Amino acid sequence: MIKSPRTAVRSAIAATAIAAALVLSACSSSSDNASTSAPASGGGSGSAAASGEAVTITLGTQTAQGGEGPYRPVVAEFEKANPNITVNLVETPTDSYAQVLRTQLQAGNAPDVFYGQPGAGNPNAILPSGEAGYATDLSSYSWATGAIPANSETLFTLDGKTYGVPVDLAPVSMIANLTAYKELGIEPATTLDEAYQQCATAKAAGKSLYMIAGAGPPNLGLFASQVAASLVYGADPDWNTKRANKEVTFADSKEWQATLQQVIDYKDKGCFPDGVEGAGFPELTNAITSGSSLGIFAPSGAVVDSKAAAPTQEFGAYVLPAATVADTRSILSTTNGLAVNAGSPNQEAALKLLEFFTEPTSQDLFAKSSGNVSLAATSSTGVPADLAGLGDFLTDESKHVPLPNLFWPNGGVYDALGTGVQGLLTGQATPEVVLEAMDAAWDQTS
Amino acid sequence: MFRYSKGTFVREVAMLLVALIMMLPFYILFNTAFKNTEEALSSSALALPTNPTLEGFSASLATTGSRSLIVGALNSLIITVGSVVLLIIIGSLAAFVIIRRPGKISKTLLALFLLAIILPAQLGLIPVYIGLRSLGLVGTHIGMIIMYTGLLMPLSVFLYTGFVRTLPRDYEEAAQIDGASPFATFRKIVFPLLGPATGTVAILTSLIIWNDFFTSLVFLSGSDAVTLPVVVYSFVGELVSKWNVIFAAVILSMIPFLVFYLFAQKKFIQGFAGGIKS
Amino acid sequence: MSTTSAKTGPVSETEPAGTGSGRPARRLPNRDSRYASWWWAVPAVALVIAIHYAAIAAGSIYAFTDYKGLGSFKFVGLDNFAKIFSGGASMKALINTLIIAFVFLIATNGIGLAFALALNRTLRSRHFLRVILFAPVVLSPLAVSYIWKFIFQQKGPLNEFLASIGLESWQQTWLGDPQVVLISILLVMVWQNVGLTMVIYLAGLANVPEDLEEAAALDGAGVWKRFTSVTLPILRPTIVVASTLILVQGLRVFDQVQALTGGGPYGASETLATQVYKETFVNGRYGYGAALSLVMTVLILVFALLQMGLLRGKKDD
Repeated sequence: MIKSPRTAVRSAIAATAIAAALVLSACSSSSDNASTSAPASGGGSGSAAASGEAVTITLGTQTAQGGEGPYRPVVAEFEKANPNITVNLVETPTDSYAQVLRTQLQAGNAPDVFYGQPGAGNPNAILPSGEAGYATDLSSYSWATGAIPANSETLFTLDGKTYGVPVDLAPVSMIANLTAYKELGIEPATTLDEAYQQCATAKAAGKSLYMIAGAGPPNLGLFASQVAASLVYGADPDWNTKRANKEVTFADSKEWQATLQQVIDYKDKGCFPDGVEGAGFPELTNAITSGSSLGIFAPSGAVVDSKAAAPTQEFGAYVLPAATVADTRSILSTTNGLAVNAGSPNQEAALKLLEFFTEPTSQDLFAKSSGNVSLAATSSTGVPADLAGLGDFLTDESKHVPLPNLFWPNGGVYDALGTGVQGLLTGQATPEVVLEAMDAAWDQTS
Repeated sequence: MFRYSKGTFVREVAMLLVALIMMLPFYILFNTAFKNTEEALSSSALALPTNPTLEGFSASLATTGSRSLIVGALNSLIITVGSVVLLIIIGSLAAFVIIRRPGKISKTLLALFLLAIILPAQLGLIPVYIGLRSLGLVGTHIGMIIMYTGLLMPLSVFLYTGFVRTLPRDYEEAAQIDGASPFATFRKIVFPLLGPATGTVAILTSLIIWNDFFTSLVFLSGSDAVTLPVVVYSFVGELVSKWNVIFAAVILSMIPFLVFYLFAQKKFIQGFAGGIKS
Repeated sequence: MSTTSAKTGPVSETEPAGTGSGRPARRLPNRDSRYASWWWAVPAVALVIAIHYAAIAAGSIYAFTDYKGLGSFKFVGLDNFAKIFSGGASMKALINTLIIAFVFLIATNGIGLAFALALNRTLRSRHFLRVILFAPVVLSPLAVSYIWKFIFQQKGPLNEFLASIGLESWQQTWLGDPQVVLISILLVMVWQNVGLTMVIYLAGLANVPEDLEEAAALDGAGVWKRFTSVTLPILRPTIVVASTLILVQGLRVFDQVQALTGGGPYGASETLATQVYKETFVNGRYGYGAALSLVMTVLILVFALLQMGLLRGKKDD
């Protein structure tokens, strides 16, 4: 439609010039991030306020599901202890958090302290941010390196640099509606066969033993991880390392095949309600709080949330049983972490906040409101009442494994797992296809 | 011959039924918003609430700061009005020049704008973000206004050019014979004549900006300038099973435009139909 | 005479003597300049170039890289495009996009036209009906999606309603069954937009003079013949406009799909737009996402131009 070639050429030149300028600004912004000017959010004075000067910093996290956010009490305590620092707590919905954070880090106005999951296996993971230069290296601070449990070191450090600290220990398990169990006269199963029988019992009563969110791949991935915890990682705790060294693959692994087949078996034996393929988080929450399903799968913080939503019912955390008690493993790891934005102009204040989170009193306070386990707790201080159903699965190290996908190299693998389970539920995919997709996603790391 | 016959009556009843069915989702929306949380979950969506309550509404209005519906609405208002005003002024000026000075430049520019309407903007999202950031405008009202004005400028120009074509030059020529400058002519004579087009542009663009979700999610999350759709979205993320509160929030976010629509529906409908035809 | 060079490219060309029409150089160019100055167009052009073209150009460059949204990147040539067309998720998304777009096009225009014809004359309640049927158009797609998500629940109003009128066998897992999910999404899209096409066609029908139809009726033409020989020809330009609008909207659909299914189950409802979003913002593969976006852009351009050309061409004969 552009008739005159001359005009076209000129327009092209002008557009290219502007485009070049934009691209150049993109390149330069990513490389000299540390010297960006004050971010739009969280203002703050130019240099760090070690003492005296009033400073406002931002703490960015994803919203808890229906809860009040366990960060608030700790932040309140921090502000009391540091009256010159105000902390702006910004919560973003979980499903858009990763992308919002990435955009903000990219453009230089991310929060001063931000939430992320350890490792590299999630879209909001900390290590990739660290690798790209967006997270401050904490390895020179003993409070930081000291806060990381030995078995989680690879989740927070890369190439000798420490990029984040954990805030709690999160068990991932089945959240059971005990009132509903009692109504059917049963208790949470301890072996797989018992579970299958209970599936039938529940179904006959018009309920379902388990509920998963067919429309939400992350929830499906979590469920599959629970099955894998016993079948794959119980048998071989070093499976992830072997996979990283290319000694094994998902597709060849009999244990992974068994895991996915198990998911299909649950469906075939009526453990899920009809229409589970289309169920979203609302249905998930409704199912557990109304008792129409006896169990859902979530981080144990969901016990607290469920109790808040349905105060007349009883809830507890239990492990998903494998064939025998001896084979069963629960999941417990540092799933929640915080990092300091390397481009933040308020480094000192941000570091102070981070340090505060690693103190034992803060960890206890945090775990209390998140419903997880405090890092400061030891096997002697025992297990929180809500998690009593997990018993020694929590305290005995040989009985739990860390959350598998934290150790995976990118978020695509976990997504392939979750989406794959969707396909298994609808019959669109087979275990072989799903495992191949997971391998393909793994190998795409660069 | 086109009298009201029996056939017409049948047609009328049929369409009224159709309209009723089309309105069912609205009915469900309002119905559920007035139930309390438990009833919203347990009772049939079509059954009226046993004890209508404003619980959902008060809960949805109880949040503060960047999760407050009121703050979101205010921000949406500022950003929408600001953008629309700029779109009208800049768009009408550009359209006028393009039509009144026909030729190669005019055709080129017209093509430029037309093409831009069709091109999806996602591709340019991050470069725009970086550009605004380097000007320190991310998370500010001004930054969003600039972005929306730029995004919708092709539409505004397109609508105005269609209308300007139909304007006879007589008034302008008369003014020029009287010695008025081009700009004064535009301001005093042409722009008032562009009334209908301005109405169309105002309605179409304000609707798009007010309801825009994804771009404001990326650009404004966490800032003080969050707009209404983003606030509603974060509601749903949090209150995952409280349908009555979610729907109350949805209703509250819908009300400004719905009221606007009910009062000005003729203008709306004319605007859409007429504007798009041109 | 104010065509001095402006800051941006296209406007800087001085006007050639024969302004596109081959007229002898006369007072005409000067007359035009008395109406308006090219400077007036500068802000609009600058904004559009910056926010549309320059940004898209920058984004397109990313399509040839492996940019991850953070940090540095390197050029990978056509790798991204090879990945897209080698089958798999992206091809499925492409096919879904086309299916959704075309069914949306036909359904929304067909039903909209039917409504417009039904409402066109003599109905007592036509104004009221018009207001009601157009209302969904002014809602935000996000709000609409939440309402429909509620309706589509397994134990939600739709299935409940079907059971109550004895059509239990018609119950579905609306958003979870891969066979049905596209239909569900289309239902929501059509519901929200049929009022728009109706209103456009009503305006177009207003151009059909009553006397012409009366004359045809007097000549003995039945309702259908009147429609095809009188109404339809006059309606053609309106059909072009409405169809192009709806087609482009359909090819671009994002909000509803994202809110209703996120592209699931297992990619059954994935479209190009949701793929772009997922790859760019969720998986952080910005280079690949940009390549997808580029493909989508080209697709939209091709179809939009094709359709406009086809329908316009017919009109000229």
